[in-house]
Formats: sequence, C-alpha cells, structure tokens
Amino acid sequence: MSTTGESEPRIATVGGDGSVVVLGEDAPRHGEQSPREWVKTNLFNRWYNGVITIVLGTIALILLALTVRFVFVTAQWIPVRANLELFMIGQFARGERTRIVVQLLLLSGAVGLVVGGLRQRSRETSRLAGLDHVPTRPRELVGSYWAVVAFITFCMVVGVRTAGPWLLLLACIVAAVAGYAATLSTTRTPISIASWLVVLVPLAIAGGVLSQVQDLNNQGAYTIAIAAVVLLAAVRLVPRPSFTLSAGLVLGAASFQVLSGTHGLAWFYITVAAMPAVADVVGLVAERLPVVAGWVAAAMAGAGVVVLFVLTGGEFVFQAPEIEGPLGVVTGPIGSITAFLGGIGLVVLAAAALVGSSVAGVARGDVAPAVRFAAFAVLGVAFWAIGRVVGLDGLIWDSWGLHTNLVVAAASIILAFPIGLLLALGRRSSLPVLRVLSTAYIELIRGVPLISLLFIAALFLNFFFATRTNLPLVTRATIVITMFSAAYIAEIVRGGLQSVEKGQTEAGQAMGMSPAAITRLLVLPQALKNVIPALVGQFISLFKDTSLLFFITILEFLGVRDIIHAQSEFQGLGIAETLVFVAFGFWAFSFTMSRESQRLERRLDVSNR
Amino acid sequence: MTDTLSGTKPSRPPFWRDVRVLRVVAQVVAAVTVVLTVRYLLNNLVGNLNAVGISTKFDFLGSPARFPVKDSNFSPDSTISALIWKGVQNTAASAFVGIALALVIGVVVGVGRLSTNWVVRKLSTLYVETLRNIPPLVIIIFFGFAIFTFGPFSPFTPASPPGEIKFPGTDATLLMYSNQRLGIPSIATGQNSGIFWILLLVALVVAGVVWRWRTRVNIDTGEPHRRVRYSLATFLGLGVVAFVALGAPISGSFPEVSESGRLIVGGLDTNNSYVSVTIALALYTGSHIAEIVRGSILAVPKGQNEASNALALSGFQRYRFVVLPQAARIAMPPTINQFLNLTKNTSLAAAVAYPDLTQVVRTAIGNDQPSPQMVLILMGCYLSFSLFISVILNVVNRRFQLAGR
Amino acid sequence: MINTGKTSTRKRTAVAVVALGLVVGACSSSSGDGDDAVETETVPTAPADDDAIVPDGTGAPTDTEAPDDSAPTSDEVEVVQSEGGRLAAVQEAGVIRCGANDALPGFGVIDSAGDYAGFDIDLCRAVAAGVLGDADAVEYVPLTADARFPALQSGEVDLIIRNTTWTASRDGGQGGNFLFTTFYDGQGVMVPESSGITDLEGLADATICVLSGTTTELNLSSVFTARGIPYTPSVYDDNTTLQPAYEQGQCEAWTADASALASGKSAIEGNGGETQFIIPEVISKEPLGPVVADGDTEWASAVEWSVMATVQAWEFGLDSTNIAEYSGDDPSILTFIGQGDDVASGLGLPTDYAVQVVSQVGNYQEIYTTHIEPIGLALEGSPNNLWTEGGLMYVPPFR
Repeated sequence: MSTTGESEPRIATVGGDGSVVVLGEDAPRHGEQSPREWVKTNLFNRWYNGVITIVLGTIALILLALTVRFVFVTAQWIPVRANLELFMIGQFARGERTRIVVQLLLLSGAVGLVVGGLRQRSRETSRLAGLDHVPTRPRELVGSYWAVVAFITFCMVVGVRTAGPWLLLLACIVAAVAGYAATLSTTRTPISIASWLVVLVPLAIAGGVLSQVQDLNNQGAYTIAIAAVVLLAAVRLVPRPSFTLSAGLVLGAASFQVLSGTHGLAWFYITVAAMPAVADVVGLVAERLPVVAGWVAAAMAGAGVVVLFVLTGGEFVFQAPEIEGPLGVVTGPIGSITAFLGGIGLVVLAAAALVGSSVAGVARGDVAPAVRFAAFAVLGVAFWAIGRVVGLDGLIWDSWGLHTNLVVAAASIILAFPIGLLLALGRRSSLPVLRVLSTAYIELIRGVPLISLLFIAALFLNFFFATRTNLPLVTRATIVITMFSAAYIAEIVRGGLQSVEKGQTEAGQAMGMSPAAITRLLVLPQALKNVIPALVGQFISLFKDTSLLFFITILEFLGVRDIIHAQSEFQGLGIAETLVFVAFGFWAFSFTMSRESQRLERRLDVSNR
Repeated sequence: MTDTLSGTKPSRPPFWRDVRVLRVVAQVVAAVTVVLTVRYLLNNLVGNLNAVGISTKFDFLGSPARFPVKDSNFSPDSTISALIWKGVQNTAASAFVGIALALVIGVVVGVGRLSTNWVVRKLSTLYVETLRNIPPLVIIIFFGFAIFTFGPFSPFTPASPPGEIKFPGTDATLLMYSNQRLGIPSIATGQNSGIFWILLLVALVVAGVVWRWRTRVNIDTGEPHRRVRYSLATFLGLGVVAFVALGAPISGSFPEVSESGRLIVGGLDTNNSYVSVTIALALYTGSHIAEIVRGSILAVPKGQNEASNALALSGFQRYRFVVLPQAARIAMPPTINQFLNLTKNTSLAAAVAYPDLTQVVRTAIGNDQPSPQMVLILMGCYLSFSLFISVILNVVNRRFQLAGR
Repeated sequence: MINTGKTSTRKRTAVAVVALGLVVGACSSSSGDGDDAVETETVPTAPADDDAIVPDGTGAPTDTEAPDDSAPTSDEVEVVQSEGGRLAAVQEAGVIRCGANDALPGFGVIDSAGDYAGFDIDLCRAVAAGVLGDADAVEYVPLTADARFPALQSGEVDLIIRNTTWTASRDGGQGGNFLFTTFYDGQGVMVPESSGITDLEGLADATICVLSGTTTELNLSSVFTARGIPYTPSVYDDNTTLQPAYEQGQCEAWTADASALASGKSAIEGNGGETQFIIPEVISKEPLGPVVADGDTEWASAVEWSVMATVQAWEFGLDSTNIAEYSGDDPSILTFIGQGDDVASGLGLPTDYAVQVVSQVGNYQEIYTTHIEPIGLALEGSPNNLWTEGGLMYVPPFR
C-alpha cells in the first residue's frame, strides 16, 4: 500500500490541530531529511501525535499480522482452488472455452493497439505544439496496476495447478505487446524489424495455446484470430492514427463476436468500428473526386442500403430478435422498438435520410458524405458476407462469473452513454416539455435503488413486451442497468456541459452558428473531455453494482460463492475465504480503474478548470 | 432584404422553418411519443398480467401478511400495508443512524488523510482506498461475518448468557453484548412524562432565545458572547427544575436478560443484523465522504490560510473559523448525494437478515403477493425517502451557502 | 455526482414530485380503468400473430391452432393462457427450459465445471429424454423463490422443478399446474444437540433461522402462533450466510425442509462441528414436484408421464442398465417400453419414451440413491419409497 498517494501532487497538509503545512514542490521531501528528522516531523511532532502514532501503529501492526496469518496460514483456499474457473467464467460451456481464449487474445491485442495509438497521438500533438513529449513514468503504471497484477498472481498461485492458464497469460501479454509494437514508427531500424517479428509471435503462441485446448471445434474463432493478426500487420504498414484506432475497435468488436457469433448485427458493429479509418481516407481523397463520383457513390449507398435491408432486414425487423451474446443486447431493444414503430417504415425512413443527405451533399458539391455512406454500405455488405462465410454461431448469453460483471458493466455504460447524453441535453433544453420529461426520468431513476429495478428485470420485464420475447435474464438485467446508468451519466454530462464557459456559446453565436452546431462543435467536445474521469468513476460504481445481480440468481462473481457452498464438499467450508477472495477481486479491478481515472484527470488537467 | 431595411414588417419564414412553430411541434411530438410508449408498455403489462391471471389491483394490501418480522411486535395477522410500514421504519432506522455515523467517520478520516502524522495519513488512505473500491453488498456480508458470526462475541442462549458491562459500582448494565443481541440503557417514562417533554421543549426554545440574545450582545458591545455556555446553562437549569417539580417523570431503564433467557428486556436492544448493516454502510459511505472532505479542504484557497496567518489566528482558530466553514460549504452537496446513496444501499440489508423494506417486500412476493404492485410500492417508498432527505438537507444546504454563489 | 450541487434544489424537488405523481398516476390508471383492461385483452395476440405462440422467438411456423378464437368461454384467463402449443413449441425448439434451483444440496447444485446436478435436475433431464429423446436437451434457468411463478407465467420457462411445494394458493392464484409429487418432504426444526432442546416448546423466544421467500416461513408462523410460542424469525437470503450464522449460535434453531436439514446436518458434522438434533416433530407437509403453467393439458401430461416413468420403471424392476435389453414377455412391461400397445402417442410422446427416460437418466431409485442418499436421507422407510414397500410412490397404471 505504500505507493498509495505517493504520486499525487501534495498541495497542503492540514494537521490534526488545524495547522496548515504547505508542502509545495519546493518543500523539503523526506528523502532529503535524515531518518531521525523525518520520524520527528512525521510521527512525533507533538506529544499527542506520538501517542496516536504508537496506538494506531500497534493496531495496524496487529491487523497486518492477523491478515498475513489468515492469508498464508489459517485460510483454506481449497474452495477457491477447486472452483477458480467457476469464479472466472461461471457456466460458460466448457466445450466452447476456445472462444474465451481467442477473446482474451483479441482484447489484449486491442488494448495494445489503443494504448499505442494514444501514445502515437500524444507524440503527434506534442510535436505540433512544439513541446517535449512526456512519456508515462513506469512508477505511475505500477501505482495503478499493481492491484490487478496482485489479484491475477494470487489466482494463479492459489488456484492454478495446470500449465494452460499460465500459457494463456503469457499469450495475452505477448498479444498486447504485439498490438503496441504494431503502432511503433516504421523506420527500418533493427528495433522496428524486431517488432515485426513480435507481431508474428502471437500467432505461433496462440496456435500453441489453442492446441492445448481439446475442443478444436470452432474454425470460426480461428478465422477471426488470424484475421486479427493480419489486421495488426496492416496497421504496421499504414501508420495513421485513424487506422490504429479502427484496428483497435475492430479487434475489440471482434473479440465479442467470438462469443456472440458472426450473424445478427455483427456486420454492423464491425463496420462501425472500421469507420474512423474509412472517414480518414475519404477525407483525404474526397476533394479530388469529381462530382460524378459523388452521384455514383450516392447510388451505391442507396443500393447498399437496399441490399443490406434485403439481406438482414428479415432478421431483426420482422421477427422477435434472437439475442446472441453480449452485443446482442442491442438487438433486443432495437428489435422491439423497430417492431413497435412499424419496422419497415423506420428502415425506409432511415434509408431515405441516408441517401437524401448524400444527394443533398453532392448537389452542394460536397462529395464526402456520399462516399462515406457508400463505403459504409459496401463494407457492411462485405462484412455481412464474411460473417456468413465464417458462420460462427453465437452463444446464449448466460451467467459467466467475473466475465459477466465486467461485460455487463461495460455494455451498460456504452449503451447508456448516448441515452445519457440525450437526457442531459434534454434537461438543459429550452423546450419545457423535453426538460420536464428528461428531468422526471433522471430523478425517478436516481431516486430508487438499483435492486428494485433488477426485481423488475427478474420478475416481470418480459410482460412489457407484446410478443413475449422472453429475453434471457442477463439481457434483461443489462437493459435495466443501462436505464439506470443513463440517468447517472446524464447528470455527469450535464455537469460537463455546465463547466463549459458561456463565452464559448456566445462566441459561436457571434459567428452565426446554429444552436445545434454550437452544441455539436463547441460545447460537447469540451464538455465530454471534462467528464471522462467522472465517467470512469461511474463505470467503477457500475462494476461494483453488478454484484447485485447475485440477488436475481445470475451467477456473477459474488453469486458463485453461493453455488460453491451448495456443493456437498464445500458446504459450510471456507465461507470467509471465498468472501475475502471475492472482495479482493472486486477491489483489485475497482482500485486500478480509480487510479487510472485519477491519472487521466491529471493528464487531461480537468482539475484546473 | 430591401423590405426589411425600409422598415416594413419582415416576412415570416414558412412554418416548417419557423422556430416558434418548430418548438411547439417538437414538444408535442416528444410528449405524444412518450405518452404513447408508456401507454403501450403499460397496456402490454396489464394485458399480459390479466392473461395469466395475476391481479392488477391493490386490494391485497388489506390482506394479512401471515408471517412475523424479526425483532418486532409485528404480528402475522397484520396487513400487508402494515408490513410495508414496518419495513419503512426499519429502513429509516438503519439509514438515519448510518448517515450520522458516516458523517462522523467521513470527517474524521477526511481530516486524517491530511494529518501531519504519517501513520494517521497512511491508515486513513488505506481505509479509504480499500472500502471505496469494494461493493457495498460484499462489505455488508463481510462485516456481518467479521463483527458477529466469526467475531469475538459469544452466543445468547439460556445456557450462555450475554456478556455485560456494568456502570462502575452499580448493578445497572451499561452494555449487554452477544453475537446476536445488544442492549444499552434507555429512558423509561413514568408519570407526567408527557408534560415533562413539553417543558423540555419550552426550555429548548428559551435556550434559543438566550442564544440570540448573547449573539446580539456580542455584536452590539463586542464583549464575548459565550452563547454555548449561557444556552446550555439555561436549558439544563430549566430541565432540572422541571424534573424535580414533576417528581422524577423519567428514569433510566437498563437492559436485563428476560425470563426465557433469550431476549433482552429493558433498555434499548437491537440485533446483529441491524448493527452489521448500519456499520457496514456507514463505513462504506464514510470512505466516500472522507474523499469529499479531503477534496473540500484542499479546495479552500491558499490565500485564506495566509490571510489567517496575517491576522495572527492560532492554528485551531484558523481551522475552526476559516478553513472548515468554507470546506463545509463545498462539501455539502456531494455529501448529501452520499446520504442518498446510503439510504438506497440499505436495500442490500437482506444479505445479513435485516428485515428492511426490500426484504419484507421480497418475502411477501415469495409468499404469493403480486410482484408488479409490490415492486411499484417499493420504488415509490424509496423515491419518497430520497425526496424527504433531499428536501431536508437542501434546506440546510441553502442556509449554508453564501448568497450569490 | 459531482455536479448535483449546481442543481436548483427547488426545481429538483418539484420534478421528483411530478415523477412520483406520474408513477402513482400510471399505476392507478392501469389498475383502475375498466376500459383499459377491456382494450388490452387483445394485446397478447394481436400485434404478433406471426410468432406469439413460439415463446423463444425463433419465428418458426407452428401448425398448432391456438384455440383462443374457437372457444370464447367465460373464463378469459383460460382462453389466452391455453396456448396449447407448448409441447409442439418445445419439440420445435429442441430444448426444454427448466426452472431449477442452483444452490440446494441434493436437489440442484452446480459443480466446478459449471454443470447442473441433483435430484430435481435429473427430473428435468427425464422430461427432456421423454419428450425430445435427449436428456441433455435442457436449458436450466436458475430461479429465486420469488421469481418462480412469474417466470412460469411469462413463459420464460416451460416447467419448474425446483423443490416447489404444492399448495392450494399456488395451484389457484399463481396459475401453476402441479403434477405428480416426486418428493414427499416435511418441514423440520434442527437444533444443536448440546442445547438440550427436544421439542418446539423449548424454543420459546428463540431466534430461528429460515430461508427467505419460501413456504417455510408461513408454516413456522402458523404452527408457532397456533401453539402460542413466541419466536423471532431471522430470514436469510442464502444458505451460505445462514449456515455459519446457525453454527456460531446467532440463531438457536434452523428450520427448513427435512431434506435441507439433513444435508446441513451432515455438512456441519462432517466439518467437525457440533452434533445436531432434528426435532422429531414435522411441522408441515411439503409435497414437491414439477409445475407447469395452467391451461395446457397436453404439455402437462407429457411432463407428468415422463416423470412418472422413472417410478413405473422402478416398480417393474427396470433400471438404466437393463431396460434396453428387456427380453421378458410381461405385457404391461412391453407396453411400457413401447413394444406392446401404443399408449405413448396418445400422450404426445414417442413410443419408446420410457426407455429413453430410464436408460438416459435412470429410474427413481437410481436418481434418489445418487443424489439424496449422500445428503443423509435413506430411501428405506421414507415416504418416498415405493407403495409396495410402504411408501407413497404410487403411479397410475400405464396401459
């Protein structure tokens, strides 16, 4: 724990007696003091401080001794050891474990890419601004990540007795490094060539790990994994930030498609993930394109929409959607809403809007939107076809232990963000009806505990749908958690909107911008940057809240305890140990995320506003 | 263009581009959409419920609950509405005590995080960073285990009576403890107690008047106000006079073991569930409040400290009169939010068998009461709780804030 | 969270009041208005004539005519409820969704590989084997006690086999159709032997641990109230917290179904805890069995006869090892295994369904021995023995 608080800039320190000691950057650090002085100023500067030091110190030492004794001597970790897999992935079909392996590898690669991409961008920004690039200090990273590392180490040491998980861990690390290496600059230095090799290594290791897994029944998962490596290589060739971002997003989306299959809306997510790169390329070439190309593109966009509609429309418009996997969550509400609004009409409307805005753009002489839409449509059709060829079936989303906690929290916060944004704008709107409706929703949801909403999900959410769609319980829970977080995100975003100075709006008005443009181009970008740390905070609290899923029999990290202690060999055995393990798991992830959000806050310098 | 310049009435844009029309249309569309959606969902709900034969009426509220509630005089013959009221009381009991404890813990630890004492600083940080990052549900279960189930206390059965701490030199019990029930002294009311309470209220009012008088004296003449001393003396003096005059209307009541050897009679007694959930939530929320307190103290501008130094205020005075009032103002709104969170988190009390509102509602649903209505009532109750707390605390907050902020 | 302070408090309050009003308004309008109810009767069928019948939304065409048009009886509930197509829908889907318990030793637990196991689980598998010919074609839906009947009513599960007690109110008000009782249980009370308590009267003023949302609470209340014994219930959400609380003396007695007590007793004693004493008095009857939704008799019989096949096989002396090789000439056994008169088709089941059930899952005795005896309840002398042995397991003849 000694790293805690070390890295924070200390502004002032208020003593127990109220004396304020300013410890600015130039204040003496204890490193420069003699140990004796340090002890005197920090432990025994007043007589009562001496007493406090001795009393609290003794208590702390006793607690420490008890903890150490519990963890290393008295605790019976057998229930955890025997059920570690149950804790991590719950009832995930053991025959499909390959998918988890592939998912972890892809996610690691995506993380490496995104981190590398961010670094790339920050270097670029520093260069443009003529400043020195300040790299992240390793000490900062250790301060954040030691908790998760400790947890993983604990799991490995206490619970793992086979080589598989160790290999998987190694492969994940290599995949992350490979993703990061793919973003390094392309000058032909020896390091660069070495990084090329690193890109290829995960393929070998992944193959090795996969061959350890007995159930090699999913060619689809492999196909996706290999495609990912190709993607990494592509990023390596085109060192544009947008490509790195897209590649990271595509890998992230693909890692979920490994679970939820390549049917349904998979094409949509992947296409969306690819859009930053597409938009970048279109932006480069659009100005040189003749207007005719715009007309062709508009026609292609129209045709693409029609083709996509014919290909996929029947899947999610005309019948109750089949919910597959975590991302399939979206199809539930969307399917219900589209069915409600009369499916076809909506799709036709959307297509008309899309094609209409392309045509309008071309008519104005702006080819870019048409080309973008055309690219989207073409890519969509292509990804749809690829999905068909890969033909990986989705798994029904079920109770998957810690995996469920993380994914439910992530899915809810992602899905809730747009809703929260709209609610925040609605609450600040000048239209009274919108304002009242948004405010009513926000205050209603914030006034009730999450558990009451989860009861709705568990008991009668299905009754709200005319078709009795019977969404799986985890999906229903995700829907209500999304509704719940939307209200909180709305408040966070509203705070961000308020933090943008009024002068910005006035400047926009002076420029003759429309209110919508002022919001979109001036206010939102600044507001959203300010709220990123608060959003991470919301994610942490959401992650902690997923422990409530236990109350509605979803086998998440805490709920697994109940299952374990119903097994005849562990009934009433090691009950405190499993609880400590669960608490440690939740703590490790939350702690790391909160430290990261503090770091982000310092980086973005929000506190100075 | 020329029309406008020459001062004639400007032509209005066509209605589909007229902002005033569009505003109205947008609102009507929004309202109609929401109303239709809600109506659609509710129609589905009611239709589906009727289809499977679940009543959508609220007449079940008058039927008997058929089960008792832990440690209360709630009888199984009482109605469902009485059951809900019992749950509300239990939730309130846990929430209010929890809020008070959380505030104390939060302030102490928050100040401790800025202490000059290294041990205090590090322990406070350890506490905050640990508890803040664990789900409250886990914390509640943990403290249920740590304090009582696997804790130092012994059971309470006829064979093993609870531990007792006596007032020194007397036979009156100060604290009675076991891993199941706890007892502390309380006030027993006797004759004339009603009048006594009223007189005490009067004394309080008089003390308030004295307070204001001393304040005015201080402002007018500049002599020390000593209002705490004066008011307290007034209140206590009047109280003692009333107590004697009415012939000892109240007396102490001390916990004793009941005849069956399983209950505590006299005093104020409570059980492990209540203590676990209240302490756990207070500690959890306290860790959040500590962060707020710390941030607020740090947010007080440095110039304020320097100005205090220039005025030669002592360390304590500087803290008491300059830093803390300003920090409190900053800390107030987020702290209110934490109070609301604590109230909502009492819904997790079922984990340690505390019969709060959520648990009694769940039990009722499990015993064949209709779930939609029960959950609706549950939400309504929590909403009222949240409203109640935010109304009260916002009034306080408004008095606290500087005008013009 | 950070910014709430900037909210105008009065506005916030007012809006929350409006919101509360909306809720109250919404519920009162939904419950009070007569015309609402009339209007909504059509809702379940009208907007989704394509696949309202198939509950999992696969969109598969069903050839079953929902009888709602043909039989306008006075009982609206029956009309909409009797989808009638549950058996066909299950066969179409190829999987049975079975509401189960995931944390009751002996009846339904999840092992470290994430698979369900237990007495009730085997009965789910028996139904799948009988109806679909594949005992593994089951999707288990873990349910809390309070979510059981809503799940059944909404069609989220096809049946519940989750230690559910057959009571009149559940059979009536909750829309459950209780089938053959597969386990005769009774509620008991357990105390540590050292306490010296031997009857319920010895528990005056005691704290008694009980699991939430179960009939156990009501039984306890009615028995103790009737005898005028004051007590305090301590209602726990799960046995994981309840059992250590009981072991450490936070409650003096633990009440549950005898089967649960037996497993708790063997676990406590097995872990080196105190010797436990189960008070001989049984305070309630707890017949446990499968439940399906009201109104679909075809599906109900298919489930019931699949389950009863395990008992019938036991009576015939057939088990998972010998049923496939039966070579005798007992006409009733031949009928049972589908080689005599075709009785099964009339139930909507394959002719060899009994063979599938018994060979894939086992007969009742095998299921009981595998799952219930390890938790400390012998079959000998219990009401769950065969009627010829003095028990209550008695199934109608299969002919």
